[in-house]
Amino acid sequence: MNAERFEERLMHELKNHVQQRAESPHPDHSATARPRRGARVRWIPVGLASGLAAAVAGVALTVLPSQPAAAYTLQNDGNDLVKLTIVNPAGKIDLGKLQKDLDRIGVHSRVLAGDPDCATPWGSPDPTASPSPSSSPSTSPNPEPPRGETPRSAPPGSAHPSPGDISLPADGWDISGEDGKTVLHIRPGKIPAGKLLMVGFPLAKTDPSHAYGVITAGLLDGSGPDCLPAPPPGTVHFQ
Amino acid sequence: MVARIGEDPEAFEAFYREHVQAVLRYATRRTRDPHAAADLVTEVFLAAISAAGGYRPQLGTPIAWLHGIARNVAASQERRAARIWAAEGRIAGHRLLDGDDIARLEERIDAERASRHLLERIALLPRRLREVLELVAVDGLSVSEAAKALGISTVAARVRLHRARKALQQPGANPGSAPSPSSLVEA
Repeated sequence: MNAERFEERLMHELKNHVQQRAESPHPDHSATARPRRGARVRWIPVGLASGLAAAVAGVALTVLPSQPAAAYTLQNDGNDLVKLTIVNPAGKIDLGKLQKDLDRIGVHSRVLAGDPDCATPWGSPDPTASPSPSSSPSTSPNPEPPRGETPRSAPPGSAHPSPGDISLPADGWDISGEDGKTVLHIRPGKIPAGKLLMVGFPLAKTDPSHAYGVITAGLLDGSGPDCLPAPPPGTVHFQ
Repeated sequence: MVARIGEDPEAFEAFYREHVQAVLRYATRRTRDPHAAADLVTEVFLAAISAAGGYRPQLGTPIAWLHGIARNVAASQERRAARIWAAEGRIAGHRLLDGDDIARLEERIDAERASRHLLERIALLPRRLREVLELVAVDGLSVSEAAKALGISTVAARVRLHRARKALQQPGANPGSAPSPSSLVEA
């Protein structure tokens, strides 16, 4: 009996597969590549309804007026709910610090800045998740009713009930507006194993004064390009 | 090293040699069909190659990361079966099997029946409890490795593990002659 035959043959096949990927300029687009999965991206506007809309990748972006000071806050309620709040879209950009903060808090993530040289987005924005241009940005693009019946401690005007009542989609994250601020809710335990939550700021490089003005998120499984496209110049306008 | 397995054949070979038996064990504990086991092993490594660029140490040890991938692949394997490897010219594990391989895999599958019994016993547990118990009691991961594979904290994994064991110890929860989950957990 040849105990190693299957394992050895499989290894050679897989090594050839790796070799082909390495030799291909776009390995994940090759004929033998796996279909891209988990590359769904939701483009979410940061601001509330008064902002101007601009078409980027076919999706409307609405942005807040510039404000001085601050940038984001990151809260972990200790119950598998992390809350990233953009308190000032014009705050000083430091995505490295945000990455470290997310790492420290236990969120499997990759923070990306929009890159004008990134020609290939991860995939088309999820049409089921993207808000229509006329929808209110303060509403979750893919809303799920909270588990609780009535918000118990949510501040007035909040789009969500208290954090403990938040029910997120199966992929463990959602972006919404709360009190005029954009909030990314994350349940780290719901992010599928082997995947990373992409937290993207398309304007971070091309428009640092509005670095946090637009936020995107999606699941990354390593099969797609490791970059985030920046919106074309002139397509995003701020009040 | 893991991050390079998607583009460096030699790095991949080292990674593969280190983990192939663990993945094969994972597969033979979850299927009675050698061909399905071979396909599952192949799928797991293909998925790992694709996902390697996203690997970072914060995701856990390579074996925990690989088990996380294996869980996803196993969960979706049935769904994707219809895609048929041949149609895309991809690597089909079952095609690499010869008679000796099949016999050997059948022996391994037979040897893993105690683990399959345990999997059947815990199948009715809530998913959050079951998946921790599965990785620890069946696959032999440490609690912290299982936590990483599942993307949860070690504390949460311990709590779920405790609840899972408690649920199984309740009278009439899952009668049968399968091995005690608690003894396996402690092993």
